[in-house]
Amino acid sequence: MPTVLHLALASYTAGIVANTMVNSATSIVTNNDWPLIVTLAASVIVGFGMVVLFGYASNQRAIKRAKAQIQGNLLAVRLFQDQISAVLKSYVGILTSLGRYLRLSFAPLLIVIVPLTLLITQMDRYLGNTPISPGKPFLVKAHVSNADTLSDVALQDSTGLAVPAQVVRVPAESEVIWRVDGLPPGEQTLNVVFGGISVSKNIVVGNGMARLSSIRMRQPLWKRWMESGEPAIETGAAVESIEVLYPPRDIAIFGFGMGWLLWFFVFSIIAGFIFKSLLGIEI
Amino acid sequence: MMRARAFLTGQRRMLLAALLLAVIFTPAHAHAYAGPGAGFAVLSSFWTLFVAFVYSAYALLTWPFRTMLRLLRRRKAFAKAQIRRAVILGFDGMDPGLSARYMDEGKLPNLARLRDTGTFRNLRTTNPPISPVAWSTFMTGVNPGKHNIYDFLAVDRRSYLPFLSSAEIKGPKRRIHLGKYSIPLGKTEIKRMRRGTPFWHWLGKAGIFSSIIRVPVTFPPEKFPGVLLSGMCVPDLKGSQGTFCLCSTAAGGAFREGGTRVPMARAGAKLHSYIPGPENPLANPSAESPAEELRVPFEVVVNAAQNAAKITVGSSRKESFTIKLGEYSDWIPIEFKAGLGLNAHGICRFYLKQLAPEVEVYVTPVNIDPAKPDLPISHPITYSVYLAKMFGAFATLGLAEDTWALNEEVLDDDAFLAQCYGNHEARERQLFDALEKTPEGLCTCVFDSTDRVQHMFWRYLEKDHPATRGLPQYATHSDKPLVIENLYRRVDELVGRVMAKVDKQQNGKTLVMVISDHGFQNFARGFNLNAWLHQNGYLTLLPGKSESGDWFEDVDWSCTRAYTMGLNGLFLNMQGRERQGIVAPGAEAEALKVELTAKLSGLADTEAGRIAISGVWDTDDAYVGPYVENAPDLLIGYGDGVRASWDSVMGKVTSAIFEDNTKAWSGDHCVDPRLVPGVLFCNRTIAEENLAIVDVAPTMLKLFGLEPPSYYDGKAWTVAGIANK
Repeated sequence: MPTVLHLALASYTAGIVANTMVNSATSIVTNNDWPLIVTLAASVIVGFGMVVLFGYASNQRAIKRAKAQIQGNLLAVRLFQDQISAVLKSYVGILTSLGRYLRLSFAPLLIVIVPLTLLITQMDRYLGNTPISPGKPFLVKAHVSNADTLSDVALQDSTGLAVPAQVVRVPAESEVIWRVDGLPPGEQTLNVVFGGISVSKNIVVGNGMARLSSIRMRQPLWKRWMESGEPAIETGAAVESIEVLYPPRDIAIFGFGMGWLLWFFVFSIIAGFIFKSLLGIEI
Repeated sequence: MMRARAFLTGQRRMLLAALLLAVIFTPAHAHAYAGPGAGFAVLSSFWTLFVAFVYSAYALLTWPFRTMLRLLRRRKAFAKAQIRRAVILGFDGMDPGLSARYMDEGKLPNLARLRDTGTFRNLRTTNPPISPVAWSTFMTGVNPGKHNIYDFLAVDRRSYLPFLSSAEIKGPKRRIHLGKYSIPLGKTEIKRMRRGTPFWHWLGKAGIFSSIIRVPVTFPPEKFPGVLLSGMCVPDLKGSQGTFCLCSTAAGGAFREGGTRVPMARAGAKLHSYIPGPENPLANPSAESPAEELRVPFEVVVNAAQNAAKITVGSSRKESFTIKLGEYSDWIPIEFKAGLGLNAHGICRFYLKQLAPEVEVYVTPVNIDPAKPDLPISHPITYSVYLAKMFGAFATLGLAEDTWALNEEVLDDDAFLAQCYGNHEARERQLFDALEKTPEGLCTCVFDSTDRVQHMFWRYLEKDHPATRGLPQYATHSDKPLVIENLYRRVDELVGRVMAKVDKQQNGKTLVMVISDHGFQNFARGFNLNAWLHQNGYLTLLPGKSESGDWFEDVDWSCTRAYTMGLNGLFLNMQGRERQGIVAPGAEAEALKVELTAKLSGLADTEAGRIAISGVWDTDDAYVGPYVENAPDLLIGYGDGVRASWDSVMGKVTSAIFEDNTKAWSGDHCVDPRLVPGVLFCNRTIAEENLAIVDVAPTMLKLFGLEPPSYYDGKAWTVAGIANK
């Protein structure tokens, strides 16, 4: 039975949590912190969807049983701690049940992991990195098929003029790296030219959130789907890939910043935990 | 789920595996995460391993110290011990007469082996021979005057109303009222009424571990070095000793006791009803609105073609299942929501009784959920959680087998037996786990099915029982079902399995006892002692009344000298003790007791040709101890085939003194204790001939090398053939 002290503590804690949440929400909206908003929204939606999908695809009864066996064996270790043989048998029971639980989780994960991986890949285009800051230097890296021709590779802007940049050539890697001094805001195009063939690369300069493609490559569709967001480089070109090193994006909450995927991990687990309880689904 | 599993077969499975491999081998950091499913799986696995590791480290680091302590204590205990382990199998109500008969007929080979190689004796029971009394004596080694249990019910001498003799559950005394809520300040208080110390506490003090399962009158559980699951007297979630509910589309009268009828309303293809629960502990009752009953709704969708129904229980978090006609569901967890986030957790089983023309669903009493116990039903409290996790939900109610439902013809014989044996099988799993976990020390488990089945099916043993009279299918005695014989066969088979397990684990070092608290006999005739007292001038009704209601309604206490409530006790209406007592203590009371004893002893049931009362005892002579003042004044020993009538037990005065007992509850043991001794089997020989249940506790202490306390009433037996450690 709750006592007045319990109720008072609960009310006080709830007040603090509610106040913090309102403050954070206000801060997010007023600062137009879209990466955080998108991450939060995606986490809730994905948390819900994945829990439903997991519940549908899994053997709920068996998962419940396996989890109960793990808990039961853990309790046995405590209850019968002086009976060494019972404790050892309980450890074996824990490991066996854990194995069964992971096996039972694996089958639905096969289903869940496919759409989620594709979704995460696409979300990473928007949330994984920030655009190049206007006027700030950045690196462009081109990989060519023949290391002997590195000195002939040039970097030009969309009008065909050479882009002022410091160049480093790495024959061992068949790579040319330009340190570009800075570009004006907006969607820009840089061309890597070799032997009269020009290969373009899209670059986003600015602030906020945009769909970014770090690399343009020649690899097949499925690989490009996972890593690039641009058309394949033509087969005849000596340039195999062009990569722009966008700075990684940190999302800060209460002054603590980390990558969107980690926040997504945390938020979707919290959302999943809430939805699994509401929907009565064993995970 | 089936669809999902089917989806994962054959080529589709291969395709999915290929996709998974593609995903795994794609080098991008984002793919390491696969959503809450994987997140939870990984987190819980690591958490489990972490907890297991912490436990292991703790167990490993403290093991030398604990072992040293244990050895020191055990050296003291086991230095004089004759055994390393004792296994006591209690079968409530197992009758020595029937046991002997079935053994002689070759139907109980395992028990016969115990008889031939060890001991088989009658075990003198307590007076009265009622389970809570006898099992209290079993565990404490003392007479009722020292353990304070005289019946299931005791009488409140101020109000003449009954209360449960074994435990008192009180809500918090102080509450704060906030609008519609009344918030309790403090915890529910559970007061144990049984006095005396169970012998496993003495064993525990000597460092000997015990596993005690479902021994009656162990609620609330007491702290001791061992594990214990409480038995008889554990209430249901309503706080009663078991209240079933019958949900029906048909109208019907209320049940007298043990159950409630709940309407089931049709709404299109669905039927709606509810499970009644406890009163809302947060409700703020007023004169206008009485205490609010918590309820859990459920809906039924009938599938006539399959003779089944789909039942969905709950409002927010729903649990759905399908059961066929004449079948029970599994144990279904239910939550009664009181408000402010406070829930009461219970479990119950559904039985599809009828589909046409009316739909009827029987719901067992809502048992306390062993996985989330709202009241302590085990020691430690995690023991019931452990059992539920390992073996699934199980009945926790003290009187788990719903005899009232069979009595009221809500359940038929088969449905009742299915319920009994379902509970019995769960108990067997708990017993065998306890045997595993107690390689040394004491393992005791009491089975109730023997008592309940004999109570309800004794009618088939008798040639002409009022409860089976006129039933055409039992025209000849040999046609009658062999329910009780099958029960004894089941007991024998269980004993055989336990002996095999014991022999495998510890050849020759384990003492095995099979005991019962009392035997059984026919209950064909009911004797209303209150009616007899009324007709003989000892009990007076208000003017104009020839009968009373339940619990002495319409009794004129100012002219009443004696009354009875419960099964065997007779109370004087004593001055200074009863609120309206008129019998002076001392000479007048003694004279009245002598007078009543003389008149009641040997009283005949002339209509049935039976001796109705074969013995009357003065409790001042029968009991010794500090709690004798709480005992009835006289104990009535009913004769063969007779027991206190149903009305008499409930404090009702009827016009007839004797009546036929036409209920399914057709066997009983609340009679003259000389007629219903219990049984004792042992895998060792016992020298003494006259054995009593009160002797078990001192015998156990002696076998484990401990000196029985001086206040014990029992005497330790001489057990031969024990292999020393």
